[in-house]
Amino acid sequence: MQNYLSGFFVSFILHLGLVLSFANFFQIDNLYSLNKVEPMPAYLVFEKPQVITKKKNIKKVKELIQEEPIISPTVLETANAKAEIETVKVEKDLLLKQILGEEIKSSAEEISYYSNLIRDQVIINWKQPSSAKKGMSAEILITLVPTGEIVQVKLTKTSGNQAFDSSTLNAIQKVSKFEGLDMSRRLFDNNFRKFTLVFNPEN
Amino acid sequence: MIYRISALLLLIFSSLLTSGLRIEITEGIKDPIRIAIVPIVWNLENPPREYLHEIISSDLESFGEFESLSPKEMLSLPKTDKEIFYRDWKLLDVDYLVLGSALQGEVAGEVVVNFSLFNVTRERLMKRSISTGTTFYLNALAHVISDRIYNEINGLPGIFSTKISYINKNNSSDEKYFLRVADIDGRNDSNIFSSTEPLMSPDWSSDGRRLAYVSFEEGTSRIFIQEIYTGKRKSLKREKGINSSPNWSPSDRYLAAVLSKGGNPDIYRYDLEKDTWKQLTKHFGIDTEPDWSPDGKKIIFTSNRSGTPQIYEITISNGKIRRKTFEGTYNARARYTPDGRSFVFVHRRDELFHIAVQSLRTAKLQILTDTRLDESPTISPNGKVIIYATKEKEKDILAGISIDGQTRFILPTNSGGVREPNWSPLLVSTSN
Repeated sequence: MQNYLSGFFVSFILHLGLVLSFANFFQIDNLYSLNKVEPMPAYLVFEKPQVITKKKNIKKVKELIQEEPIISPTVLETANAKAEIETVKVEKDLLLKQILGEEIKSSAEEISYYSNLIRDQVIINWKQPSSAKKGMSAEILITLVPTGEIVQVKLTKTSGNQAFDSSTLNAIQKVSKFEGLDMSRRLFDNNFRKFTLVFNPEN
Repeated sequence: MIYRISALLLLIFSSLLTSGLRIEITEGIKDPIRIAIVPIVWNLENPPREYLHEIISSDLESFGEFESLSPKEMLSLPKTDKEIFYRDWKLLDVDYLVLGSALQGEVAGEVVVNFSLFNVTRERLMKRSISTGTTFYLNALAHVISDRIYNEINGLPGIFSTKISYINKNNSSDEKYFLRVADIDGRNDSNIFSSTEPLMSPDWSSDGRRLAYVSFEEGTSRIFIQEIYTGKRKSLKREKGINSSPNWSPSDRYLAAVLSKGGNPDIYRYDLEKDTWKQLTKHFGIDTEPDWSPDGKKIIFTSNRSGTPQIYEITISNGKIRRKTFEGTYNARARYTPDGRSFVFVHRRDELFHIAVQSLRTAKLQILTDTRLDESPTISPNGKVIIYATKEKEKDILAGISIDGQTRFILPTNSGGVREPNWSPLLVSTSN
């Protein structure tokens, strides 16, 4: 009886391990996942057909070597490869700067530019009710799609005055689509897909 | 512990998610709200000649907050919700739409109006309401409907059912002085009291049923209280010298007034339950024109104790007095705004008398009118409009201005001199 139980236990553990690994419990694919690793530049060096032919016509090569003994084709190739690596590095830096650095630098400016664009479009559509007073405040969470169309409107903070809240919702309904939001997808996703409009009358 | 940390992390993460980008809007456009009142459908045997939609439209347009569409401009005249094509109304740039129908009431002469208010922008019904009135005086019914529409859209009580009391001096008749009450559109102007001797300073009680005023009918000044609907009069205990400027307390139990029995004019308080006077200010200067604060704890008044007329405020419980105005050499006749945060008064600048408003907290003064001889400002019960007496071509008239100084108008009233307007409190509940 004891033997039977231990056999059953071992087989259970083994099967469990198998099932779990099939179910990706150990996340093996993550270990080798390409997405997780920063892309490594691959530098492919194509050898010149001359070099290939070199193997076939050894004599010719020998002659070449004899004629110009200092500059060997392999050295030439490595020099070229080095230069290539350099240029690729520069290009990569430039790309990285474009993708990250420069965008970080200008994104504050861009955000304020597009925020003003949105603000202007709300202002010309907002008719404040007579009960609007300094100190009242309503907040609305807006969800956009990249075309600028408003897909969801949610009052997240009431001013306590129904007419005032209603006037802000009216303004957004009138806008219905923000024009001129021709920004990069990354900027849109990070800042403008969801944002809050705060209505704070000043008078 | 791990759970706590992860919960905390989750909290921080979610708050980061929701905070996101915030865009602040501090202003809108000053354009009036566009409203379309579709002519009311009359389901009566003898429909009256007056047009409800016209009265409602002109009510709402009175103070520049609304602009109404005339039926001629309308693309369709829907009778029911189903007949509304929101696109048409949006094309006409309409924000709100009102439909209504009138039915014969149970009693003869009674008319029942069902009306619905629609938000065109958001394509939805905002309010359905029933108002009952009489065919004899449809204006009152129209004013009630206007009040409800105004309240629903603006979040403030409408003031179209309120009234103005004023003193009218007419030199062509035997009885020269009249105390009159009119709707704020100047209609329904009726006489409350008339006398051959001067009448002064009418003031509405907080319940809107009584007027206190000064009459010289006995040869000297005396304060009277008159019930508007029954005409019943009562006089306050007369004191030697001046008895003037009555002003009701918010509870209607007291009247503040000016008596000069102590040698010079001071502010006194009359207890209507005990019929007794109590002195509040005591100074050798002139103290006059009291007005009770909305919370009933303070009284604002004019005094020349500093040499020129200036505005002062007294806390009734401890008698402490504070000077409120410091700009210029003439500031008088102060009236609290209904929120109790500021006061409206007469301010002299460059030898001209203007209506001005000043905040009690920041003491910031703003001149509202550019006319020349403005006096006796009185504020609407929703705090949005001021009516005052002024002169036009040597004639006494009543003029109005919105509290932001944007809209001006002149009140159509009786011919002859019109002075000392006083705005009634809200007389009809506009909440339903």
